[in-house]
Amino acid sequence: MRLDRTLVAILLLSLAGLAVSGYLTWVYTSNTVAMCFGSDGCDAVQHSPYARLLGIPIPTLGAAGYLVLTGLSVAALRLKQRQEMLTLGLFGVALVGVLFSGYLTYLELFVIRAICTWCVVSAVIMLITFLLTVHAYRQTGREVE
Amino acid sequence: MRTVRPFQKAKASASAGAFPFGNGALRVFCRNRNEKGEESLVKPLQVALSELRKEGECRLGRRERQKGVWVVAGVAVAAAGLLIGVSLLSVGGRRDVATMADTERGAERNVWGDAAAPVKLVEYGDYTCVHCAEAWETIEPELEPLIMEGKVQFTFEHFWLGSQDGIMAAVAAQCAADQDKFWAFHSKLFNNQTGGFNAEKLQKFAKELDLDMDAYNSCFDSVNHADEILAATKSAMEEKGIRGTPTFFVNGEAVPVVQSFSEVLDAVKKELGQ
Repeated sequence: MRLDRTLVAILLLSLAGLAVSGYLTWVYTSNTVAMCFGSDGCDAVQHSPYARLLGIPIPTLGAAGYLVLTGLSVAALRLKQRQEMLTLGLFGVALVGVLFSGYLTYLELFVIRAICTWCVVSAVIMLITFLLTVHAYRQTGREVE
Repeated sequence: MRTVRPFQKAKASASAGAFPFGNGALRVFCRNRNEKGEESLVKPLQVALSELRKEGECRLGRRERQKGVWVVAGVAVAAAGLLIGVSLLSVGGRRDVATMADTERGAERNVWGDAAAPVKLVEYGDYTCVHCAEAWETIEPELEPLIMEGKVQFTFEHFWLGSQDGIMAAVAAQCAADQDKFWAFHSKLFNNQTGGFNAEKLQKFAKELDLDMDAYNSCFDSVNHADEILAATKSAMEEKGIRGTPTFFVNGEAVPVVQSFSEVLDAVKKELGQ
């Protein structure tokens, strides 16, 4: 039961991340301006050369990552027999996410020197998701059905 | 919890009382095994465990779990490293240009590129003009290599549209030009146009480009550059008949922009015979 709760939390966070990165993908591809909530950095970040990776907007990569996390967490909730492997998969994907988010946050702070609120929100969501996957994987080791 | 038998058999060999019976027993058993390791456990317990594992009760052994974590973490770190590497490599050149000094990029004040370049592109623009920013965003990435290869010379002429932040931004750009950073500043202005400009915002850009702030501030406060910009605007209106921004000229010919600013690039490429 407790593992399921952690997985549900991961699922909800992934959906939140999907919403944020989906919104930013729309902003990037339609040339609109993001709502920035008091920070004026969104525009600078969006127009920096780092905003795309081989032509793909960074938020699109984020959306793909969150989509995989969503899929894996749904699978882990439904396929009890594979829960351990699926949770390990969640851990792996979230680790990629958290490392890449860390790099992007570093760029915002020290290279672009502008902060984009939505990017920070996504980085925080990814960090919490990652910590939860670590917790979930430990739980799979404890729980015996 | 129907298959606790092997464990119960093994229990006798374990230190008495360490593992309770039943469901709880298995729970404790697995926890001990996963967190504290099984080195101290006696062999029958390991046998019991492997049987349990076969029956799918305790799916992965501690070693396997640990190994799994390391393998997955290793793959994840490699994947993240690959993403970061691609990001850094693909940006490498571009990032430098964005903050590069004018002399480094072959520019002198508002003229960027070789004077002997076969194509001369001139833009009349204002930093508060939304379409000017759009034009910059559209043409700059493709224009930059052409300029750097000596094929195009690009001149940005200030054409003040009359707003207060427009003149402030243009003056700030000229002050940056005094410090060899006109184009870096120019790019910052167009990329951060949203919300307009004020003295603080412009000062922030100057700081970000490592300008000498004393020199920048005294330049910004003096009216010299404002006069230049007004004079340039006046002569553009009178001599070239400019009425709005952005207006582009390729080798002296006005470029009509109908749908998108990529038409300016098309005109440049046509002149280059591409």
